[in-house]
Amino acid sequence: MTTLLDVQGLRVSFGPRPAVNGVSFAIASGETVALVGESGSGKTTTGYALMRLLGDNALVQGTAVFEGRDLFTLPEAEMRSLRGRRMSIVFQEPATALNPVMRVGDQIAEVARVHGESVKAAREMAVAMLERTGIADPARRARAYPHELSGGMRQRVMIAMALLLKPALVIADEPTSALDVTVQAQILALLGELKRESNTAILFITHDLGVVAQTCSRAMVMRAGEIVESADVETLFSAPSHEYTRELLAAVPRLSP
Amino acid sequence: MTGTALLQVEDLHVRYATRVVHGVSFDIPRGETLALVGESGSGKTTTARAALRLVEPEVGSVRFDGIDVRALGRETMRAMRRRMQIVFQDPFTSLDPRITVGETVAEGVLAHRLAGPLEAKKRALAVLAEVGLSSDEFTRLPHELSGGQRQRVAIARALAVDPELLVLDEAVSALDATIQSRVLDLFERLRDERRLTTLFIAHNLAVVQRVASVVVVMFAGRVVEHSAANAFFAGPLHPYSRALLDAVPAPDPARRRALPVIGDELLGPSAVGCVYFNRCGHPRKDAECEAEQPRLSAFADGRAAACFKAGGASPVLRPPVRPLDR
Repeated sequence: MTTLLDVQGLRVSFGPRPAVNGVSFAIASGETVALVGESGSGKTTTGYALMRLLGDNALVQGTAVFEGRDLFTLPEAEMRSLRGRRMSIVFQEPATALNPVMRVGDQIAEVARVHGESVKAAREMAVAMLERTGIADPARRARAYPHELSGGMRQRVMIAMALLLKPALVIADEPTSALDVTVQAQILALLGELKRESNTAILFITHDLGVVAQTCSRAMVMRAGEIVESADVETLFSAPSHEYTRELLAAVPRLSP
Repeated sequence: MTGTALLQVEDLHVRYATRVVHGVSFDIPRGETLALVGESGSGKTTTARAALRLVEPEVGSVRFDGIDVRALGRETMRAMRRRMQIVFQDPFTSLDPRITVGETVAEGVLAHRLAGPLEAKKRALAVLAEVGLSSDEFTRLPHELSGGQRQRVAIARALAVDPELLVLDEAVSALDATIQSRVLDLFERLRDERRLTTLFIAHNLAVVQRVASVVVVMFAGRVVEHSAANAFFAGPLHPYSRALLDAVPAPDPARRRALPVIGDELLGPSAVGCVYFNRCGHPRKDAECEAEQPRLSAFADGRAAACFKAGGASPVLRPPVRPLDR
């Protein structure tokens, strides 16, 4: 396994107290790694920092070497050429992440357009990708606006955008937290199929330990801006070494047989 | 059971542009918790709102403590509202952004003339402490709180007027597990101490299993299963109930199994026959299901389901797919 992303000493502060306080980890090609924590733990900030989506009020320190280059020192133009093509993000709430006044097909196609595809080719790619996500009658659906689709369908659109150009890394920020469980199961299956096809690695940001146990091979537990434990999921769930991990595991609601 | 029921909903129909609730009936005995489960758009929130007369039902009766609430005038309904409180999923939209946490919680106490200003403040502080908020939060505005704290303020506001019925509409769903667990402890205590009756709307069946004595499953505006919680979790009758249970990801990698891809949400409810027909993964579904909507029928162990193929063992559904990393 080759290292795809190597993060060292990541620190993000918006004020005197750092939101992310010295986080280091690596992700191999094709791997699915969970970044688990409760609200305010810094997991989403970590994901946004890697995508360089934080505003000017954020002070980002450390290094994040992705395919041989440090994301934090790249000129913005080069970062733009990576986003969507080599690395992409799926947000929790597709209703707010999608542009409400643009047809979903055009939004998907835009990803390919930005990276040099012709209008016609981009449009065809968008429809093919929509079909790939299981949406029936994709040519018609491509002309829909986000509000005309269900939450599950909007998330399929987000995933279609994120995986259109077969990126090496997808940061999935609570991609199924706003969805019904049956839809969640389908979205997780879809993400799984698409990532296998393109050997995409996923950094899965979530608070849901059920989703982690079922989908990820490794997990990192964050609390108050720090990773307190990192292990393969079998070890993490059966023999957690940190007190906080044990607390989290104890609080998870479980179905008893 | 009718004699002791606090809330009785019978043959409830609700129409907005189209009918969204079709003939829903249930009783909740005092001190019990009934869970209403089903996907978004299944009609569970509308059912709860209609039960509290926050929307007017088209047809049907709602009795609270034996009183027909649909027949009540404005003033009596207002007084009745103290006894039936609701907490919504999104506390950001249900809290007034301009008034402090303390005022929010004390407001109902004052409005229902349960106490004077001093006593109301004391009550507010006490109930905020019960949901795990400190007096530091008392003078804060909603935007100064985290999502979890706001939700606990909304819960405290409902509890402050000492209701008999509490409707929790996904009220704990967005809370972090550690806080969710504490809030559920609180409900269990209130249920035992005050015989608080709860209509619990949630999508997380693991949480439902912890608190509910009865589970009502809705699909496309109809009740498809209505079962005692123990029997339901031991083996639900309806294929949709089975799908909901199977889709819950177990927090245990040793029990890693493929999450079922069943009941595809892209297939809407069927217009004729069983509403669940299009999405049904039952191995024995047939022409009868395609032709007619089954009625809710009683089975053993306090279970009832609207499925022609119900009975016997819980259905095993279509084969699943691989999860992400396997």
